[in-house]
Amino acid sequence: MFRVQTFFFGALLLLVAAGSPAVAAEKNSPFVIGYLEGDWTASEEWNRHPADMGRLPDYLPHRPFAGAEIGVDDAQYLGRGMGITYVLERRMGKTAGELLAALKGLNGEQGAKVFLVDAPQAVTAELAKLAAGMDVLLFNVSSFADSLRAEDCAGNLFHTLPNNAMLMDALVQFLVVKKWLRVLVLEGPLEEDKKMVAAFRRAAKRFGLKIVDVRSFLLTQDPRARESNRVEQLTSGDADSYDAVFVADAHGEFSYRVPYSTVLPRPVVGAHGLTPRAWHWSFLRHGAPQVNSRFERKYGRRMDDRDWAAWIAVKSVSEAVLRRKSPELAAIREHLLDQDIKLDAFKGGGYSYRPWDNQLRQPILMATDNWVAAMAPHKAYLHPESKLDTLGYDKPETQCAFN
Amino acid sequence: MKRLLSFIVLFAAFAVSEETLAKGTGYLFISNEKDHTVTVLDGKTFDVVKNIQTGRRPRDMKFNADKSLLYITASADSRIDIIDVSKLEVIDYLLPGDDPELIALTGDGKLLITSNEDDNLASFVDIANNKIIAQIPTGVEPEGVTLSPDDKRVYVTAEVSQMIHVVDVESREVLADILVGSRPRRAFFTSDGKEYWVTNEISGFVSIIDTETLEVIDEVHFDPKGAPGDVTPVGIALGPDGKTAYVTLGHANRLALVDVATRKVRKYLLVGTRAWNLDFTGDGKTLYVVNSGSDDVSIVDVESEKVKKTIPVGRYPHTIKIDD
Repeated sequence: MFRVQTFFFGALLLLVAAGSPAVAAEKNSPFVIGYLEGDWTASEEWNRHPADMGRLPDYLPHRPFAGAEIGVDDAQYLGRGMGITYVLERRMGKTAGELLAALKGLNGEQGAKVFLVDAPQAVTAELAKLAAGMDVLLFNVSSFADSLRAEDCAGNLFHTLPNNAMLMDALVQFLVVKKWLRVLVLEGPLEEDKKMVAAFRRAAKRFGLKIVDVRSFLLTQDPRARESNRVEQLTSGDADSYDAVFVADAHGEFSYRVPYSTVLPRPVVGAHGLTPRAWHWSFLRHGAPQVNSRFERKYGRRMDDRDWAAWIAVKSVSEAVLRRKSPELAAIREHLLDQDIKLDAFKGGGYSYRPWDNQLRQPILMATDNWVAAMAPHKAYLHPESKLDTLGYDKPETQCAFN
Repeated sequence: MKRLLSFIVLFAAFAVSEETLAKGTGYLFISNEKDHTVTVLDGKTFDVVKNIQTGRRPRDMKFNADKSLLYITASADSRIDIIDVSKLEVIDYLLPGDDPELIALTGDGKLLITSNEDDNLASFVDIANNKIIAQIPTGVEPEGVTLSPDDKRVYVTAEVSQMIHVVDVESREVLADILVGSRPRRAFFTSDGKEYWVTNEISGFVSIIDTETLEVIDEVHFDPKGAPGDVTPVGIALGPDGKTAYVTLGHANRLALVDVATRKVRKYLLVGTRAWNLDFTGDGKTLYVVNSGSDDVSIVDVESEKVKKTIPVGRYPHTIKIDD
């Protein structure tokens, strides 16, 4: 009897082994990542040169899809051993409703559960709400908006791109370490410009920097508005009235003319001059040249912040699948929120996601037109858990509450 | 008295030349990535003997078995330059495919294997005919290339894919893709060939692979006190007695000494910035650590386990090799 039982049990095991293992069943099964592209009528880009926009007519339409593609190229190697092929599907939509329909389509027809969202802040926020309750994960790869990490945050929405608060904290740390403590702020008319100034004010308060004045500029040639459209007028002041000029100019068309036009010989930071960034083509450390070179060879252009964010989002997912040995969403989510993961983001360390707002921790690069002059967090700023949490919304101050 | 003295001088001179013959020039060869040179230093005085112009971005270097030739990857020129050690000149080069990074040479000096970082390949180069005879697809950004002690297998690390590819040298088949930590870099085999130790730069630990089962059997973690930056291990070498592993910890500015048998860290030594590659003198008494972030080389006395001296070299030194 004992023998028979053993035999039976053994046979059962064999049956199970032959029929069910996930590996066998999913041999070369596709893992579909959706790329949801919103409507970009206005560029949020900083530091993109107007001449480029004019001369390279197809420059603006370049979305970070390229970054996602490079990410998928890399991911194929990680999937190989598990019999998983990564597939990227691009869908476009003007509204959150249209993007939701695209999401549902990819989810229903191809089983896609992970989506990169390349859409403006309001659309991304609404999409995350609409998709709540669905078994999907979204990655914001395009919006720097603070609200997405605060009042509009969502448990199904991760962020690989840093938010404005992180960028401004990085910039202010840099200024304070340099002892350029009195800053003149030039504020543009756009809503984004005002949000940028708000983030800068917050950072100034945190790190002890003094904003000596906030002056509004206008993008016009009207001679009657010279007080607000001429850099010379905007930057007038006594010899020791400011140490640096911060320009908040989301569209970037005004800020180009600020360096070398200020009344006092002072550095310009913000939208032009020294700009805080998630990524820059000139970065020469931590393996960055290899990634930039792969990107440039394939696309004939330079990899920017959003390309990097899309690339690292795909990398986060493919690594989660590899490390957890499972393409299931629950396992991926668990991995992403594991505080011990060390995601290799080619910025020098291994990074994890903040569990309170799903934001990827990361250093910020301080870039000129062609050089990364410094990195933040600066070593002078300490933190009991992670120095990276000196940038942006730390746990005690988070305004994010997942439902 | 005079005769005795001259006898001593003669004897001493004889002894020196004998030593030179047996042990090579004693020169240190250091590749400088940004200077496009290999600096040759006198092994005793550390004076510059010569700066040899190479192809652009010289990185890894390997001697052939009798140390008459030194092979150097000139990555930016997609070449492997060959220096004649007696002439201190580049006498020839190999074409190993795009952007070669690290290299391994078989003991018979016939085959050179390199990682082509940008093309995700490992290239096998027939040295005599200067011909690529095989290209093995690897994971993304292949880096470390290490031959097993019997030259039968080559282990290639893939930085982005976080894997070790084990390739049979003769059949050129990939025998296994082994998942390790984040950004695997360089490696060695233990003296008995039973274990393969590899650094994972971003994860910050060393993975140990059983060369028979081709599975990860252990990890060595590091926790140096007061390190200025993250532990980012890159360089790794087995000590001359086979008992201690020497691991450079990159941004932590430390060299870790690990007991091979117990796999425990014994000691940390302070070295320069972004300490990466390292090499021993033939007698096993001295260890040189290349600090690419501070453009210098730390000299470690192996017996006392102390850093004796630091010598400045060229810009972004990559690798050191000793002809002794």
